[in-house]
Amino acid sequence: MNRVLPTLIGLGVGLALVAGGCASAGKSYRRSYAPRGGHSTSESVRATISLPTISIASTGGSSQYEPSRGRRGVQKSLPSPPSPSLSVRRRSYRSPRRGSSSDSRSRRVIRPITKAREVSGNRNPAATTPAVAQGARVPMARLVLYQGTMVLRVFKLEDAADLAQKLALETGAYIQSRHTTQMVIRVPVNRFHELMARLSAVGEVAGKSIAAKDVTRQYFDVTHRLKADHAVLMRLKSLLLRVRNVQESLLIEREMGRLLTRIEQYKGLLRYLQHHASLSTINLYFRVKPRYSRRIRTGWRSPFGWVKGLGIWRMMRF
Amino acid sequence: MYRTRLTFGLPGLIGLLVLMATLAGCNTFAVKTPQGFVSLQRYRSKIYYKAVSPDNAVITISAFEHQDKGSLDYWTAILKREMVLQKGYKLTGAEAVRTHGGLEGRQLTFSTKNGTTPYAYESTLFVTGRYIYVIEAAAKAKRFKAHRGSIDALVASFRPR
Repeated sequence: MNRVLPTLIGLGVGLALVAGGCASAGKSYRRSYAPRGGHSTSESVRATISLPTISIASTGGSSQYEPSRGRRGVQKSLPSPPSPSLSVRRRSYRSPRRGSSSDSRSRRVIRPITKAREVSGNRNPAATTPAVAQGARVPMARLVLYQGTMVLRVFKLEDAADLAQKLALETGAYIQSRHTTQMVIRVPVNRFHELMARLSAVGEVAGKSIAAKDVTRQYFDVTHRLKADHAVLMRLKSLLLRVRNVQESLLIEREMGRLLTRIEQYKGLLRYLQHHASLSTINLYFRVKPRYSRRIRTGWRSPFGWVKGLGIWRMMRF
Repeated sequence: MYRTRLTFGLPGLIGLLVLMATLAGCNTFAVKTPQGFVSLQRYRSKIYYKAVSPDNAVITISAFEHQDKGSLDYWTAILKREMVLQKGYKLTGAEAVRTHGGLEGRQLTFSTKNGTTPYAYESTLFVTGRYIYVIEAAAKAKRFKAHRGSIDALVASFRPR
């Protein structure tokens, strides 16, 4: 009995400590509330009380915004529920202090929710979310930019250029620019090699090169950056609705402005890559072929000099 | 002694002067410039002649020394091959012609381009013991028919010397 009593006392104290610790932890880290308008709280529509640190990676460095008043201060400033148009969902709650903060952030899925979706419960992300936010479907095919260069030796520049232009238009290409001795052709990528082969017949090919640049990685990289930026933008929007301090509001808006600019840049870059991958470029250069070359091709050369000077070229020279 | 020298030298000198004057004054051919054309004096020599019309139709006559004695058919074949195989002209016609003086020749008609403009080109060949004469006529394809009569008149009036 003397041995059992201290053991029982120790067990009781230990259980009490464990129970109290769990209770205090739950109180300090988790809150749930019902949104305004009688909307019931559910597991899927639940906002955390904590205002995490917002860090935005940018090319020129990283900017960090942390609420000055800490967690408690933010808790006081959050009596109003989040906007019905936005919700922050967490699949599993994890304290920001435990583990890496980037891990917990990456698990969040932030999606705008329309009223129709809230009411009807219709979960059709395609109808309500922008393509980028829900992960734009990126084609798995490789994005390759083809650029061909060809130097053709021709007898008559104008005739050769006309013929090259005709061939290009037949293959669905268009002429980007045309000068006396140079032509730039944009051709659909699937007919690039066909047009290169056909252009070879316009004159004598003095030089030919094809360069392919694989931009698949760049495309995916930009796509993912765009997704990430868009996610941060959504979070900032949700935060903006909750803050009541003007200074914090200004800071968030400034960050949102920066993000929007960057998102537009990424979108532009994606459009550029897609456009350039769908159309290949052929740079065509014409060189005047000396007349004696024709002798080699025809295999005939006059042994009499006087006949060489005949023709309209001499006649039309005044 | 002096008189004897003068007696023998003077006829020779006179003869030489007459010969030089004759040679200097005459061309290797004579031709009548057709109506609607003007012969360009700066291009006129005893072996070359050029006449132009207001719409830039051109007629030239060239005389080449006939060193490698060949027949009219031979030179016609050479001219044809030169134009077709060497210069890329297209042969559109060939016929025999005759001048007012009875000299027989061959006339070859070609089509070609000057830049991107289609041109008609015609060369008429006459062969004598000393010279080969080539009468060339060229004009824009659309305007060539208008000058047909003038070209034929010039060819008919051609007279080698």
